[in-house]
Amino acid sequence: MDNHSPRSAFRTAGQAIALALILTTAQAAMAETKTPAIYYGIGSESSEYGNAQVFGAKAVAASVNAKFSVLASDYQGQKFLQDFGAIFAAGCKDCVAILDPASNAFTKALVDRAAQADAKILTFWNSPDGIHPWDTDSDNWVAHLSFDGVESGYKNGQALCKSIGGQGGVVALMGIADNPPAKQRFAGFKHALAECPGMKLLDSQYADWDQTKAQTITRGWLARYGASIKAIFAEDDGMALGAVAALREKGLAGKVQVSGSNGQSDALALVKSGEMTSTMYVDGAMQGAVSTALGYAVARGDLDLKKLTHAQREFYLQQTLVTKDNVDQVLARKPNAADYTYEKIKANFWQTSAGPVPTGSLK
Amino acid sequence: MTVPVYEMKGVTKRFGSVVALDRVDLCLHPNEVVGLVGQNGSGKSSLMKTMAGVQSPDEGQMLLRGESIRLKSTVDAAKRGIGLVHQEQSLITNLTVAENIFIDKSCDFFKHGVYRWGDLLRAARKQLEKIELDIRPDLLVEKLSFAQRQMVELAKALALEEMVTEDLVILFDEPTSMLSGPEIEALFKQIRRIRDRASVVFISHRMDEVLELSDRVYVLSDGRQVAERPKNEVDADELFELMVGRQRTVAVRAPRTRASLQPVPRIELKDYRVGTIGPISVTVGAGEIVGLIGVQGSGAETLCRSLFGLEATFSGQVLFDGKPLSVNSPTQAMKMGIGYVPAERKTEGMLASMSIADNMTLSFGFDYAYAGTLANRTRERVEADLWAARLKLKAHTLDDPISRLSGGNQQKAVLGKWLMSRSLKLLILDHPTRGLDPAARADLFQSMRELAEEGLSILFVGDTLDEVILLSDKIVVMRDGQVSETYLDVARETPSEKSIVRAMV
Amino acid sequence: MQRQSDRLDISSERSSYIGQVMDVKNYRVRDWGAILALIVLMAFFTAAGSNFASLNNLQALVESSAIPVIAVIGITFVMLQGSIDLSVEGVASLACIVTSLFVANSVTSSHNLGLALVVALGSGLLLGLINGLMYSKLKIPSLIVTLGMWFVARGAATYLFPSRQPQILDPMLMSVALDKHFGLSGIVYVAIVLLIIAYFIQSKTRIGRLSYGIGGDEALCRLAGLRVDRIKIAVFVMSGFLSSLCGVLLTAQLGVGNPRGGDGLLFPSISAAVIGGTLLSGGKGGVFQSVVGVLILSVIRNGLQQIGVDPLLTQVVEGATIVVAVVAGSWHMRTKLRVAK
Repeated sequence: MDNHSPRSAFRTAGQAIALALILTTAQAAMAETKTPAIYYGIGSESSEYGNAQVFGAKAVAASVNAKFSVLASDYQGQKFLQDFGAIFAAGCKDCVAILDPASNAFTKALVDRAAQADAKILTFWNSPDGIHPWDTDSDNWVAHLSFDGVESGYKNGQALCKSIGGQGGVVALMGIADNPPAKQRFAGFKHALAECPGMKLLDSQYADWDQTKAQTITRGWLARYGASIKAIFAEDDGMALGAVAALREKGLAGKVQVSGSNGQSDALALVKSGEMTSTMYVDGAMQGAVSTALGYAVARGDLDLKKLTHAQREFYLQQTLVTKDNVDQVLARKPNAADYTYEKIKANFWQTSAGPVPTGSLK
Repeated sequence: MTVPVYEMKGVTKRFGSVVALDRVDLCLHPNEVVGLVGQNGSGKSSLMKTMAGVQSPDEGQMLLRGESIRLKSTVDAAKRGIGLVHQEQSLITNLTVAENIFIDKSCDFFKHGVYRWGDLLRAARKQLEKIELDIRPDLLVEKLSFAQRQMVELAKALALEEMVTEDLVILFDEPTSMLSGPEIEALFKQIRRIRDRASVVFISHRMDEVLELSDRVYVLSDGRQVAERPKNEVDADELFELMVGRQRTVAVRAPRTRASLQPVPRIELKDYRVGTIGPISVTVGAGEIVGLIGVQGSGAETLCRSLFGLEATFSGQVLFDGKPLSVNSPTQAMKMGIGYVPAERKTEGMLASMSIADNMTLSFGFDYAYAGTLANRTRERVEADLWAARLKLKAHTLDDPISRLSGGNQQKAVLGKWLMSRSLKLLILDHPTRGLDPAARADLFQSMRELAEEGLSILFVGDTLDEVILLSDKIVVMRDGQVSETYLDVARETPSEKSIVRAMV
Repeated sequence: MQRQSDRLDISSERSSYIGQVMDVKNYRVRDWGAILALIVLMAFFTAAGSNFASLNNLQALVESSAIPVIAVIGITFVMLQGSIDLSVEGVASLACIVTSLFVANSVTSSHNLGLALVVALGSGLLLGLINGLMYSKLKIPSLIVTLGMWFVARGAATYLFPSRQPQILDPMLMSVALDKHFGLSGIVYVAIVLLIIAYFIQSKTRIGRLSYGIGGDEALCRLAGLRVDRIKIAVFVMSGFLSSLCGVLLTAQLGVGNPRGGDGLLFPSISAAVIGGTLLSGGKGGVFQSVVGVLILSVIRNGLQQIGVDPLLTQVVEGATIVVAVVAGSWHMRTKLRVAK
C-alpha cells in the first residue's frame, strides 16, 4: 500500500508531461490561425435539436473557414465547466464559444473563465436572474439567447383548449423540478388555463424529459382518471411522444389531445397524423447559425459590443406554434446550408429575434 | 509385506525460508488406519495437503500403489481415488448436499449442462446411506450442523468409490476439532466401517483419539517424522518427548530480581466462560508474567481477546484489583488499564500506511495533551522517542512509514504504543514472537521482564514451549477450552517440556 | 485426557431443520419478506381509495414492469455470482437505435425486421461476451469493465444516431407493443416466457446452479475443478443479450429509435433485485425474487401517483421506501453483507 512507489511516480510524471505537451501544442496551434476557432456546446449529440444547431453553426463556420468543434454536455454543467475550462485555460484569445450551460448555476462560472482567457462567449437557455451580458464580463459575454418558454406554454395551452372545445380535464407532464424552461412553460400553461375556465388541471407529474417515464405516468393517469382526461400538456416533444405511445395502447391516440414543445420531426409527423395537437417549433439550425455569426462578428471586430443595445444582447429567438394548419409548411422546410452563411446573417443579425428577454423571467 | 497403498519418501516442502516438511517418510498399508500427531507447526497439515494434492512437494517421491505420481490438484487426486476430508470445510454452503457430494466429479446427472435432479438426489441418497447419515439430500448445506457437514464431506470423499476401481485412500485433517462427544463417536463408527474398503490417514491433536482409532501412529515434529509405532507398542510418554522437538529450552531463565513472587492479584478469573470455552479460573498477579499455551483451538487466544473486550458473550466472575470488572469493549478495557497486542500484527495491531511515530502515539497520545483535549505533538513525540530507545527500536527516524520496519521492530512499535499509556496495569500479548527473528525475540523478552519488574502484569500466549518456560512466572496450559494444567512458580519448579506437551494434547 | 463433552451441542439445534421444505423448488422462509412487502403495499394503495386495484391500472402496472423484468433477469444471474453489470443502459440504447435503422423507418431505406433483430441482438451477445472475457480472463473487476462498456455502447448509439429519431414504420414490430392479447401486450408475454426459461436455467442447469456456487465461494468452486470462467462468461453473454432484447422491445414501445432509450433501466433493475432478495454480494436470491422487487418498485411509483402524492415528494418517498425495504429484508444478514465484486 505504498503510494510513493517509483512506478506510480513515473506514471504521474509521464501523464503530466503528456498533458503539458498537448496543451502547449494546442496553444501554439491556436496562436497560428488568424481566424478565430469556434466551439459549439450542445446538450447531447443524440438529439435532433442538438444536431440541427450544429448544422447551422457549422455552415456559418465553413463560410468563413473557421475551425469548428462540437462538445456535448450530457446535460451536466460540470462537464462543460471542465471541458470549456480546459479550452479557455489553454489560451483562447478571440476564439468563440457558444454553449448551453445546462443549468443556471454554471453560467457565471463559464462566462468568467471565458473573460479570463479573453474569449468571446454566447450562452443560451440557462442564465440566472440578475446578471446580463452588458453588466457582467461585458467585453466577453456577447449575448444570451433563449426561446420564450412562457409563450410556448401559453400558446400550446391555448391550442389544447381550442381542441377540446374549452371543456375537459387536462394533465401535465413536467420536465425537471427547478428548471427554468420547465418552469416558464408551466407558467405559460397556467396562464392559458386561467383563460380557459372549462379546462381543469387534474394532475401534474415530473417525467424528467423522458419518453418512457412519460409513457408509464400516462398509463397510470388513464387508469386513474379514465375518460375525464381530454388533453395532455407535455413540456417537451419527448414526453409528448411517450404520452402518445400510452394513448395508442388504449386506442386513444387522436382522441385525447396532446401538446409538446421543440418541434422535432417525429412530433411534427404526429401533428400531421392528428395524434398530436400542437408543438412549439424552434429552429435549431437558425439558432446555431445566428449565435455563431454573432460571436464571430464580435471576435473579428465587425461588431462593436459597446454599441449594442440590451435588446441585442439578451433576446428570444422566434418560435412557431405548429398545428395541423401549418405543419406541412414546417415539414417541407429543409435547412439549406446556403442560407446560413456569415454574409447572409451579417445583413441583419437580429432578424429572427422575437424581442428582449423580459426582466425577471429567467428565474 | 504387501505393497503399501500410499507411500511418501523423503518428501520436503519449503515456503520461502520456512521448512514445513523435512524429508518425511510415511507409509500407508491397505485397509489400515494410520494416525498422525504433532504440535502446532509440526507439519501435519502440510503433509496432509501434499498427500491430497493441494500442494506439491519440492523434493521427494509419492508412490500410489507402487507407482510414482505427481498430483496436480485435488481433482487429480480424486481421479486416483484419494479423497480429503478437510478441516476448514470444502462444501459450498449455498448449494445442496447432493450437489456438493458430486461437485468435483463428472457425472451423468449434469452432462450437457442440464441437471437431472431425480437421478442426482437418488445417487446422493445412496452415498448418504453408506455412512448412515439420515438427512435429505436436497437441503442446503448452510442448514446443517458442523457435525453433519463433516459427514457430508466424508460422503463426498466416499463417493469416489463409484468412480474408481481400486480401494480409496481417505485423508482426515483434524475432523474432530469442532465436534462434540457423541458426534465424534458417530464419525469414528463410520471410519471403522469403511476400513474394509479404504485406507485411512487421520490427523488429530488429541493423542487419545488417535490411539483409539489407529493401527499405527506417526509423530511429526518440526517438519520431520520422528517416530512410527504400532498401536500396541506406543509409550505415550516417549511420544510426548519426541513431539517437543526444537522447542526444547536451550537458554537459561533469567532470574526475577524483585521478591514479588507472592504477588498481589491484579486480575482474577473465576469460572469464566467465553462462548464454548470455560469454565476457567486463573489469576495474574501484579508484576507477574503468566504464559498461556495450547494447540490451535484450545481457547487461549479467545480468552485473551475476551479480556480485552473483543468477544461478545462471556460470563463468570472477573476481579480487577479486587473490584468486579465487566469489559464489553476495547475502550472500556483501555480505561481500566488493560492493553492488548494482537496476533495479527499487520491487520489488527498497526496502521501500515502511517509513520512509526503516528502508530505509537495513536492510542494514548491524548494522555499527553493540553488539558486532555488539544494534542501536544511535541510531548507525545518525546515520549515516543523515549520508548523507542528503550525498546531498542531500530529505525531511521520515527517519521518513517511503519511498513518499512522489520517484523521485530514493528512489534516493538506496537508494544511502544501500549507502553505510552500512563495507566497501563495489565498487558496481554497474543503470540508476540510470531514472525520475529531470535534477536528480536530476545529483545522483546528482555523488555517484558523489565516491565514486569516495574510492576506491570503480563499475560501472553506463547508459540513455543521454550518461550513459556523461559519467560513465565506461571504457566497455564489450555486444551479444548479448559485449563488442563497450571504450573505455579516456574522459577523454582521448572516443568519439563514433555509434561507441558502432555497437557496440551 | 478428557474429551470436550460438555461443549454446546450444535446438532440438536439444527436437527429441527431436517425435513424442511425443499429449498431448490420452493421459496425459503426468508424470501417471504419481499412478497409480504408487495402484498402489504398493494393492500395499502387499494385501501387508500384510489383506482389502484382497477383492471386498467393493474394492466398498466404489468405493462410498465415488463421491460424492467427482462433487464432484471439478466442482472440477477450476474449478481448471483457476486458481480455486477452496469452496461445495461448502453447496450439497450445501442440495440434500440440499431433496430430502428434496420426495420422500415422514416430515415433509412432498409426494411428488414429479421436483419434488425440479428444485428441488434447480436450486438448484445457480442458486447456481453466482451464483458465476460475481460472480467474473467483479464481479471478486471466487473464494475469497471461494464462501466466502460456502458459508455462505449452509449457512444456507439450516439454515433449511429442519424441526427433525428427514426420513426418505426414496421407494423410487425409495432404490433408487439400495441396488439393486446387478453389485455396485455406482446412485450409482457415475452417477459413471462423469459422468466420461465430463466427459472429453468437457474434451478436445473450448470450455469444456474454454479452461479450460486460461484457467488457462495468462488475459490472452492475452482478447487473442485469447475470451469468457473466459462460460467462467468456465459452469464455476461446472457445479460448482454437480454439488455439488447430490452432495447429492441423499447423500440417497439417507443415507436422511435432513441439513442438514449435505455436510460433509466439500470438503477431500478439493481435496486429491484436487491429489494427482492438477490444480494449484491452474491449467492442468494433468484429471478422470481428479483421480479418481486420490480413489482414492488412499480407498485410504489404507480400507487403514489394514484393516491395523488405531490410529485415533488414522490422521489423522496420512493427512495425512503427502497431503503426501508432493503434494510428490513436484509436485517438478519447485516453482518454478512459485503460489497459487490
